[in-house]
Amino acid sequence: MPSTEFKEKYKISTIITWVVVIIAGAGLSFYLKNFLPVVVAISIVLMINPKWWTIIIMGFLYTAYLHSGWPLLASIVFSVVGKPKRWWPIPAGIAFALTEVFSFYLSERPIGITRGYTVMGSIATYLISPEHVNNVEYWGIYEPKVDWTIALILGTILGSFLSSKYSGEFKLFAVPQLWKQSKGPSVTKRWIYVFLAGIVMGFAARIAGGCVSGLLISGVIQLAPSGFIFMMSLWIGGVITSFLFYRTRTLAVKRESD
Amino acid sequence: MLHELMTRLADTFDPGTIEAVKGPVSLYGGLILGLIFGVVLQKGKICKYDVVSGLFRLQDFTVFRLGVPLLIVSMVLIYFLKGMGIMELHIPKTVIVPQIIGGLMFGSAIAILGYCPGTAAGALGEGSLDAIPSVLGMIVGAVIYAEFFHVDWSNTFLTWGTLSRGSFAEILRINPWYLIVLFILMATMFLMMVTMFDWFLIFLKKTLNRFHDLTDTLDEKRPTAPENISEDTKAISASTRNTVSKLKKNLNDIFKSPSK
Repeated sequence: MPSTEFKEKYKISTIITWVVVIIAGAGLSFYLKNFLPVVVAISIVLMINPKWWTIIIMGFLYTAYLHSGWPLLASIVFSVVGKPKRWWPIPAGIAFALTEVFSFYLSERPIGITRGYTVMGSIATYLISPEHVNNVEYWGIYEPKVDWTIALILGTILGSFLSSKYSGEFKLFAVPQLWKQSKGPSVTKRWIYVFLAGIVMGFAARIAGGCVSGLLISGVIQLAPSGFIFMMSLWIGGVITSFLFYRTRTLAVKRESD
Repeated sequence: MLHELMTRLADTFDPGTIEAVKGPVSLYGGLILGLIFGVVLQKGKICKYDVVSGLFRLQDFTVFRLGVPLLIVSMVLIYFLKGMGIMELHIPKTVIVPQIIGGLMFGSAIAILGYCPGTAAGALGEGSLDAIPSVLGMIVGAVIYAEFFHVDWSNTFLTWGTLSRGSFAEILRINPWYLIVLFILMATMFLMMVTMFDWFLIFLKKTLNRFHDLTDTLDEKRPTAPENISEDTKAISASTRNTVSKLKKNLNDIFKSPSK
């Protein structure tokens, strides 16, 4: 018999939902004669509310599925290292550097995100009209194929979700705190500004040929002039716009150390 | 109609991309790197609007403290491993004028958004819903550029200032390690300057409370002082004593116990 604590913690309806998801995955994998759907279903169930043991179970699962020890090792490391709410900036920077170097080693290219958004735009154009894609010269460079960068974006979203869920940082909100202090709590205003600034950002990234990760970081670490030029102009543009845009509300600090 | 859409969607997927883990086209490699990247971004707290916007308001230097060790360590490791013959460089090409213009525009966008393209994805995973319109905006911006501007501009200012050689070491024809050592020295000095400026800001804020007076605006009202204090103590504490005690406390905070 399950104890009352267990009943309070895991309600019967949630357990039924989990079982239904796993059975659906099992049925799909039986239909396709492929283990991938059931593995994905089990990992969704385990990752909705991650604890250290669910992460290690998932490591075992992927180790068994892929016949490789790396997932188990990664899950053990993550279950230890991912628990604190934040890493202090210098260790986090060193971890970032190791990721960058690992990208050079594993995928033989620097981490670059903006290319993924451009390819998404290309795919959207292709879905609307395939003939039009051939007429535009730029889509010859960015072909409408799902590529490495889209997988990178998907992985970034998943990794951030997993990490924030595990350490209890996950919180849904539509307007950030500092924006509320400096521009007011209106959701519509924030979202319109964000959309317009996003258009400018995508456009500028295409002019310059990269974004912060693809041009600035990968340029500077290889001593390319492009990275330094982009860094300086980004910094100048950002500070000037910040002071013009927020005006007297620029001094709106809410530090974590308080 | 739906069937046609599904066939087009199937066209965009290339089965050759899921054959191996290693290599520049492998989707598995992208997914693995993305998972690590997302964890690092979230734990470093740089996919928050408050942190990135605080950087451009010159008040929160988390991004600099993270960025300087990042640049130093990865620069040293990459040139070291290249010297060992394990990996090759992939240097982005330099075109001076469009990169200056693009950088200025990118900076102005990042000051308003608070996310760069990578951290927008991380912020979406963390639960900031305002990353959704920013991602949509980036896609729309790229489409606008490709459809309307690329052909007109590709032969004019987009080629101004193209450099033929890749890195500074190749331009100056010297050993890259001299430049790396120079960069490490300059970056360390920069980090120390930033840290001192940060201490100065903490000090100003805690002693004078000027910042709070400016920021206590909307829903962030501070609690008022308790009223059951005698007249004498009010008169004294209002002026000097308070300030001196705060100053001592903050000097302690800053110089003796940096970790909380």
